[in-house]
Amino acid sequence: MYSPKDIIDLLAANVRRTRNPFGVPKRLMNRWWKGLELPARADTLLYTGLMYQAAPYIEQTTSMLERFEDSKWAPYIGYARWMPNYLAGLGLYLMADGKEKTRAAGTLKNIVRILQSSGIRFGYRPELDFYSGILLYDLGDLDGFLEHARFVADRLQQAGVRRLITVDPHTTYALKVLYHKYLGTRLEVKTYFELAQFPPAGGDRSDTTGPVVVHDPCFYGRYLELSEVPNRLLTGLGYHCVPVRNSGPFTSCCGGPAESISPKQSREIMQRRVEELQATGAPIVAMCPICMGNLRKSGAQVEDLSTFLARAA
Amino acid sequence: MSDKNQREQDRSQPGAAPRVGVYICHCGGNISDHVDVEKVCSDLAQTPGVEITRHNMFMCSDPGQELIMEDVKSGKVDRVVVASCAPSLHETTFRNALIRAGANPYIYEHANIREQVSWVHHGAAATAKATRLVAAAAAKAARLQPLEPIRVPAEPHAVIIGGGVAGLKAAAELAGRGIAVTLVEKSPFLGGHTAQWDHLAPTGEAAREVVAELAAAALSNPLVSIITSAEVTALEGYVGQFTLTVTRRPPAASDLPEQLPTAAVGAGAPGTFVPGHGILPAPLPEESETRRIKTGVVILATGFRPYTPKRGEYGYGEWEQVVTLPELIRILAEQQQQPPPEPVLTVNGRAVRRIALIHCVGSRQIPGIHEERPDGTLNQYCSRTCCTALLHAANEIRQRFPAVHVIDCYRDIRTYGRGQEELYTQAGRNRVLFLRFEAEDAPVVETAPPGSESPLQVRVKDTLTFGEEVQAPVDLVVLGVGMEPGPIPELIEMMKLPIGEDRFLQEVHPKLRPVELAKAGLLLAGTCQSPMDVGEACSAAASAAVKAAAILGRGLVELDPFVAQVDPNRCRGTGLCLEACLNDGALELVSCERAGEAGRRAQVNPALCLGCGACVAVCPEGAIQVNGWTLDQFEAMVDAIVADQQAA
Amino acid sequence: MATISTQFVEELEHYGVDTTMDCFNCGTCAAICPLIYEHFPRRMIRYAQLGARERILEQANDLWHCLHCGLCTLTCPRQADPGELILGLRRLVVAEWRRADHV
Repeated sequence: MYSPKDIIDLLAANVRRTRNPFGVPKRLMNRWWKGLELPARADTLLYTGLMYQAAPYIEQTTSMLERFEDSKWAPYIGYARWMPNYLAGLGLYLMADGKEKTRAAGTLKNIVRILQSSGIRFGYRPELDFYSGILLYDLGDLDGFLEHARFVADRLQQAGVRRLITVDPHTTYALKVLYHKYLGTRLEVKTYFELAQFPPAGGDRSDTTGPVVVHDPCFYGRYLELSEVPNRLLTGLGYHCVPVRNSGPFTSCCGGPAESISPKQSREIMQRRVEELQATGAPIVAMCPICMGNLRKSGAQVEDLSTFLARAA
Repeated sequence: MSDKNQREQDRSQPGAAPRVGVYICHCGGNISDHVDVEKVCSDLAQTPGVEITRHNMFMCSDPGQELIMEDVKSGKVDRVVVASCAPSLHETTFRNALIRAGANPYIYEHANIREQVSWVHHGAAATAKATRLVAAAAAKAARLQPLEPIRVPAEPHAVIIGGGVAGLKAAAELAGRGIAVTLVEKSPFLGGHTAQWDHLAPTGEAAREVVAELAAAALSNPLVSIITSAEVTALEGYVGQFTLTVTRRPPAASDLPEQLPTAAVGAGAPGTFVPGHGILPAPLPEESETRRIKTGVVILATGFRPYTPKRGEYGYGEWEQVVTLPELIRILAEQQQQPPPEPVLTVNGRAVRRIALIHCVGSRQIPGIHEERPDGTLNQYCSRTCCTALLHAANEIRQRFPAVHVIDCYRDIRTYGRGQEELYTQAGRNRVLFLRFEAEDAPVVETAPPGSESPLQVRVKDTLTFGEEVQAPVDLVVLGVGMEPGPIPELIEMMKLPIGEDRFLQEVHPKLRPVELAKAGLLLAGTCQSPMDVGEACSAAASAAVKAAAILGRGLVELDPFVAQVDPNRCRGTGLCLEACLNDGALELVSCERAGEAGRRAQVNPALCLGCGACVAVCPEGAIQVNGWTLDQFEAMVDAIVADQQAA
Repeated sequence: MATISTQFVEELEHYGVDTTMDCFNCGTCAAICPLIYEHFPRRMIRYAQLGARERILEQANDLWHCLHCGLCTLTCPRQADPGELILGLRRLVVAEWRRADHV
């Protein structure tokens, strides 16, 4: 286990400096939208919270952390703040897997297609698309979270944003629940799949149908009680959602949230969950970049919900 | 003479052979799956004296009973044997069926072929044993004589010993049914321990109001007379006809409360409530006096006393900051009203900030862990009321004095009644901190280390913290003392009251006869029987009152006729039976004339005779028999069993 | 030996937790927690009830094993919100660390 104090100090310093926990400059991280020509002015904005974009860096960081956990080097993690090229910042950017970056961009492009084909009018403004700060909240750095959240909320308010379309459970929970609870912000926050609409079943969709098993993220299944929506969409598209032990409000954690403090523990929990999911024999549907990255470490076949929905869009 | 009696007499004419009917029950297969009921019937049909044999799926059902009643009414049979389950279950059922058929209920004999046969034997052996038992019963039945129950006139009066809530409740209930009551109370006050409390858990109603209401209900009825400062010093007689001696004495000055308003006592203002003591119904007696009271029943409502911790038990008696729950209740009741925001709880002149409560003090004691009394006994029972009372006090403290923190050290929380578990939930909401200890690791109360802000500290090996020892500085320790039986050794000795292992008075059966003592006419009400809360004590008292009213209501008491009877022609007055007799007064020797000479013979007092037969065994003349269980009846049963064996 | 501090519960209110004493130590949280780790979070909650600050600080790192998955809060029979209590303890510990850093 890593010293939580070191990790928190590192992440908090990164957020303060770069507004994201990895210290990677946003202009390098967030490039998926280029060439899509999404409208910039709209009171309804697509808001990624940079979580999908961060997935490749999370994976890179955790694989390094996992290698060093319990080694004699672990105590030196705290010095990373003064060694930005190793665990944070530009160095991390260069080390992260290019294929993963492409995959993350693909997920977001799929979501754009789903929204467009559902007839939703929305814009995207990369300069307003900030990390939500949720990790600092989860780790107990309430002051750091609030400082950052205020920064984000102020920018959104100044730009006149009223409605946000989110793409991952962590950002959704932060903006919908935490920003409101702690800052009193009044934003209408919906996930993209709550807005997704497909023509009534019919036509030839046989190529897309088959059994799937849905892994509900804790935030969607338990905190926000949204797990019915993806199930309904997938069923409407002809998929058979195989029931899995522990789902909906009782869904099992993928282990992901522990990966920055104790990668080993994270892996144990992930393996238990993967066994539950694989017992169904169906391909796994994830809808959170953290779950996705963590479940994939097992080698299991995991696809993002947007991939399935985009096939029908 | 009615037709019925005429018929009965005809049948029981000497010489007229009795006609026995045998009725065998299948018990829905319980019996007939293992006993060949039809074979038993056909075998019995061959037995001399047996007139009819029948069997039925359920003999206790209405059609089953009808079968018997028809045969009796038509005169086919005049003795009845039912072979079925244990007599404790249905003997009374069938005796009552005989009464409904116009017959004497004592021409009945019961054979148990379920518990004693079909549940324990199988196959041919079961059938053989059943046949033997039924044949024995039939042989006895042929020799049964009609008997009359012993009828004792009942004095329409009840004496209640004890003027606490149970005694008052029983008095009011009985008087409400038109039965005269004398209530005898040892102290000058009514209301018992309840009068010493402030508010009652779980409802929070004022204890003095409950006491006042119960006392008013009793005092306002002219059928109730109350004798305070008095004790029952002698008991004679039997149910329906008891005579009690009641002695009234001026209370010793040391027994009187200091704050007793002497003016009120002197002026004899009845009905005055003296805080902390109860209702004073009458002036104190100035001289001793003794009176005798005739009564039909006696209700014991002698109550409990709170356990007194031994010196040093959790520091009791060593530090003034260690008090019992009744003492805390007084302290809370006497706190001055204080203005918000921060009322201060003051005990012995010191502000209290943290209180530790300790449960199960003097209750649920375990051999080998707790110290036995000199007589080797322990209070192994749960006192039942202390958990709720402690939580009630904890909530009161937290609500009245929010700055005072409460630490509750318990073994198990047993808030068992309506509205009581809510007190536990409330205690959580009131932020009472619970620590749980095992009996063998009781909390330790000790002086706090130097520099502590509190005089004492409590150390607990807390099972809720996985057995870690935790300590807390405290300003007050409250011991949740349990209930012990009231100190009534003289009554127990004098009235030969049965006591249980827990030293409380013991009923005949907790479910079937819950308020009766083995001695007929003695009833139990309230905490003399076991720890109870006020509601339960009142409920038990009402139940005792109903039982008393049922006994007295008919003006006479009927007792089973299974008592000893002396054959005056045979008795030689040896007096051996008196020596063997287990119940004083059941037998006596009376003068008589025998062949022109003065002599003595034994005489039975049927109301006192237990029917045990000890006298029968010692009489050299065979002059004493127990009705319904005579020696010739026993011999006939043995003959029947042996004859059957020889035949087999 | 842990010393009970009855004021600690009030201090925790500053970190957003007002359900500490609602817990009646049933252990459902520890049974459902995916960590299956040393009676987590029940033991921590117990220390919070006792106000055993030194125990919490000694074992502070254990707080960060929590996945914030919310199963304990969902299943708590007393609505004592164990998940939020762990978050609150993290906040308290972070504040302690920050105070120490500034000294």
